[in-house]
Amino acid sequence: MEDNKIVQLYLDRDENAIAETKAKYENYCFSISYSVLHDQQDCEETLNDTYLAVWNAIPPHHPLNLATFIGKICRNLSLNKWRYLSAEKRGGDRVTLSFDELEGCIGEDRRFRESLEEKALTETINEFLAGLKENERNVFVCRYWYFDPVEDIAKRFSYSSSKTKMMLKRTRDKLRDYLIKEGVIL
Amino acid sequence: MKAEKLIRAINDIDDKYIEEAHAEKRRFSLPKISFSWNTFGKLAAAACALLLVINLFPVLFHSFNRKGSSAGGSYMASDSAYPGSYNGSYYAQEAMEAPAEAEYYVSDEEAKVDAASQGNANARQGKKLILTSYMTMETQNMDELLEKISSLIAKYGGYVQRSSIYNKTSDRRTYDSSIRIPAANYEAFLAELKGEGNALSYSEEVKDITDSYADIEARLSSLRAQEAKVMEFYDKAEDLQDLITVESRLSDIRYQIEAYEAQIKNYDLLVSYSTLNLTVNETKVYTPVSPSFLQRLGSSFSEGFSDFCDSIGDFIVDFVYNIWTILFLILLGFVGYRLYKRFRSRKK
Repeated sequence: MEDNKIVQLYLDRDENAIAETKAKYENYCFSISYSVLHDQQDCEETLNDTYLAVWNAIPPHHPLNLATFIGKICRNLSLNKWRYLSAEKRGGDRVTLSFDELEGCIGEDRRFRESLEEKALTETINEFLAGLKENERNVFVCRYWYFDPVEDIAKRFSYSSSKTKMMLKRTRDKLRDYLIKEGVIL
Repeated sequence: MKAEKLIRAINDIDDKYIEEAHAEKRRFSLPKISFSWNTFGKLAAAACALLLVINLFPVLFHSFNRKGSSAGGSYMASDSAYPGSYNGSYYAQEAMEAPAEAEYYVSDEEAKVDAASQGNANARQGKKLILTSYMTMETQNMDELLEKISSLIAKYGGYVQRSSIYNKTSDRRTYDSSIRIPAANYEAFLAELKGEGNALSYSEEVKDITDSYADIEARLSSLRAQEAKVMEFYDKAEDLQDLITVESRLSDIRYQIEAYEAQIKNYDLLVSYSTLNLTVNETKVYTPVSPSFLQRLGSSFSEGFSDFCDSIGDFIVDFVYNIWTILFLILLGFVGYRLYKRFRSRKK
């Protein structure tokens, strides 16, 4: 079913909307969730939470791009779940590694501006991404939005792992410089 | 954690960037070709080696065959050395009307026929024999030999039924023809032809059609007698019905007579003209008639080198001719290799 018809089902409060969403986006959401959680059961729980969240979000929201709308919700819920599950233990999973990389990007001696809102930070990141080359941007998004392992990204783009790591490092450095320049981090 | 704020902010980046990256993820199943000179070089070398082997193989094979034939001497009576048809860059076919019939039928007592021997015209007396022979020659000057063959054919009243020239290279040509010579002149023609070049092999096939010829003649004679008898009835016929019946029978008889006469005529033509299937190869060095070991060694070396040079030339020409195919195969192999590598790495 087309996205606009599925959205219309949500707006009409038709319960078939969830079935249609599941049929179309289950694999997509599962891949996002699994990148964060690495556990099938946790992923399935997160997916059910995602469908419920989407049901509650539409309306009032009327997404133009249903795939990314659901993907963002799923990613957020997966991160929440990951935060809850990793409260006691700290392992070397993908999300932790991504966090560590970005932590290093900001620097130990720097901090975000106190008054900065998350929306403003997102806008700054959008501007930064717009200035990147397409392949750099895709590699960055694959790594820090989808939490893909470096090896998978390297294969996908036919790069070596070291080249991919170097590209990510340079992009993080550029991001840090950009955030400093924009006064986002002090 | 500072990074968490960043990660949460990244969550809400523009949809287009998420979609763009997702589209790239979807393309994961399709191979992304990255150019590697190393792999390209390996595949190109493999293609060249294959082409070289294909080109050199006939040379080695020819060399092996040539040694076998030279060991048997210059004449191989029972050897069917006729090389068959040629596919060449130049093909000329000539066909001439057969001249007036030349009778070669001697009703004498039975004689033995030795297919391999020469000068056996007397032995063939009393028989209706169709002679077909195969001869392979080599020459150092193809144009001169062809002129001499033409003059010999004219001299002995023969004609060329079919001829073709295969231009392998400008100095390595092959002439292939089917020559028809009056049977009475065949032995003289052959003797003179052999003196013009280096004859490598010769074989004869003699088909004895005496019995079937006599049988047809007997049937013809019987039919003619029947025809005369029916003509008598025709003259005596009084009513129309008899006339029609007799005419119908007469028509049948005459049809059969014509068929048998055509067959007799064809037999006469085949018997009266012997067929020589001649192949002439142009060469730089003649194959020795009774070579000693050293001669064979020297001949093999010089011919081998000559063939090798030709093969290299052929290889270059073939390579240029097949360049697009080779490039396509290299591309195909390259894609296959990358796919295999990707499949293997994914499996791991």
